[in-house]
Amino acid sequence: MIPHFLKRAVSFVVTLFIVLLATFVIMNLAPGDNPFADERPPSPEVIEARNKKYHLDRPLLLNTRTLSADTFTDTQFGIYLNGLLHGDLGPSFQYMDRDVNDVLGPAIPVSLLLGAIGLTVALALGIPAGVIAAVRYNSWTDRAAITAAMGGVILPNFILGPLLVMVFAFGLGILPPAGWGRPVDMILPAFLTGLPAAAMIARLTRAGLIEELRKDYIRAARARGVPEYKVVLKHAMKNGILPVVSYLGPAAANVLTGTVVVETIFAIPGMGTHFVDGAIQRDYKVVLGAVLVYCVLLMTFNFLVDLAYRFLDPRVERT
Amino acid sequence: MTTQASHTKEHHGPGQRAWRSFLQSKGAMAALVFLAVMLVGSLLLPLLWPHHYATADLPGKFQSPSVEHPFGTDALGRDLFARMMYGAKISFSVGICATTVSLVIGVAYGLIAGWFGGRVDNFMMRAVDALASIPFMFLVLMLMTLSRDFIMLFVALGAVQWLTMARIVRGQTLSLKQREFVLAARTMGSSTFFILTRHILPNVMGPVIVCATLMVPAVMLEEAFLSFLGLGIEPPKCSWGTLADDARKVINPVQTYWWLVVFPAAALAVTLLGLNLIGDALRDALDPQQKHRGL
Repeated sequence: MIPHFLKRAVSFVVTLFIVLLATFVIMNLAPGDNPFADERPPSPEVIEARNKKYHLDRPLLLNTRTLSADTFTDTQFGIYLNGLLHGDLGPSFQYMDRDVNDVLGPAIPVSLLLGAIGLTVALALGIPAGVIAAVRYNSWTDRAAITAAMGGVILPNFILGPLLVMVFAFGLGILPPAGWGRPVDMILPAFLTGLPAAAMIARLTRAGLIEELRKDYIRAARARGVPEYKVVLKHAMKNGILPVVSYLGPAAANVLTGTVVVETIFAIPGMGTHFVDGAIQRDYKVVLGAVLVYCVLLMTFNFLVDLAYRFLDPRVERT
Repeated sequence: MTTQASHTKEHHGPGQRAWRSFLQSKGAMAALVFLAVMLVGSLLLPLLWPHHYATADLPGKFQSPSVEHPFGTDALGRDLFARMMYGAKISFSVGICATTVSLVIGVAYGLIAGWFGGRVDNFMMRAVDALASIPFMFLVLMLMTLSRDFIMLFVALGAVQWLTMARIVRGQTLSLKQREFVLAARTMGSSTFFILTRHILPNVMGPVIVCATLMVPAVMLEEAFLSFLGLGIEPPKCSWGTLADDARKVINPVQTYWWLVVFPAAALAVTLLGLNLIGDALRDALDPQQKHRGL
């Protein structure tokens, strides 16, 4: 088990490194790579000072002037990597007086909270819906649940969001259209963040449970006189829920992507807002920092899911 | 149709059976007709329609739906119906182009990995696994930061989607290359290229078509997602995603410009539903084993 996780950790670090490297190269090749939105050309002194601060006076990947350790470290990439190892995401292009850490730091807990509530909503809506649909297989309840789940797929949260704001915030006036902090602010965002994943979880739960409920051990349990709710929730659920557990990783990715949209719609001061803002302003440093944080969050989550799966299904170990 | 089918009943191959099963799916047929009408309409109607999608008419802004403007006008007085037809063109072309990109990359990659097997396969699939473990939407967003080009949009979205395709093709190729007809072809001295294109490729087409059909709505959704965030299609061009974004920006408690929200949302939802229905019906037809698994 431990070698497996070590291997995963190594491949994670390698992947992240390659992504970083690729981004740095593409950044350099991108046309018009002046990240500062200058209205007038600034004085040479300003340019020089600015290039020094952002290390733009250094070569990108390889310092060919000296053939020593500096060849790799005294470059934009080397400096960024060094900062990263010290937990420093570098200066921001957009905000001259703030580092990426200052920008993203306060936003991480907000996005994490929204993501956690969203995932909880997804599970709390998806699993019961899937169970009910599976138990009432081929009935009207089942069909309604499938249709609702299809709705979750074809009505993405950036489409549903404005519609719900229109109805609940402007039409009925019972929920705030934007903002963050009070519990009532979180209702619409949490629902919207969790909905697409809830639809998928409902479908997976239903499919997994239907397959399990056909098996012999279920018939045996029923023949023994085990109450139906126990047959479903205790016996069949144990195996039927496994597809959902392995979907938790993608679900978290889905929810996290959802937080970007939802934060934009509801003006929530999370990472997604800064991420999109940075992307529009071409603030590479903020974008790259946010992507790294998102990646690390998801990788950690996937790691935990993997651990949980091995605990729930010991057969994985043997294969 | 039915009479013709009954005449040829004794000659039914798996392909024909799949085709017939697909034709019998009412939802998919309705979706196919609807999408065809919409696609042709969005290509031809702008030639006749009196309003241009980008012509602003400031005095006539925020008009609710009328005979003149069936879907109303937006914040700059542009005709929403014209804009939605233009958006359909953009959305569909992004969906189809990006799918083609990922189709080509994924099929070629999967064929090579599956055919050569061993170390090549191991390395190639390791790379796919590594890429799949990154939250790809964030990478697309990052790519769009670097260059907000129309071409970049195709490349970025296609680059996200090819992984699934490569996995499917590789798995099929691995099992197909063990089969006798491949051995026979080899014995007769067929080149690897010939075997791959004439023997393996036709046999993987079923799952590939299904995957590609379901990929089109996925890509359209991603395009709309990017455009909604302001990182996809650049104005004055528009797609359904940018229209949804425009609507979100102008709705307010005093004046709900509902038409700006509802029409693009409906267009996107109905299109996605249609494409998903077609994809599901194709999967049921081409891959009957999957049919009753409830997904």
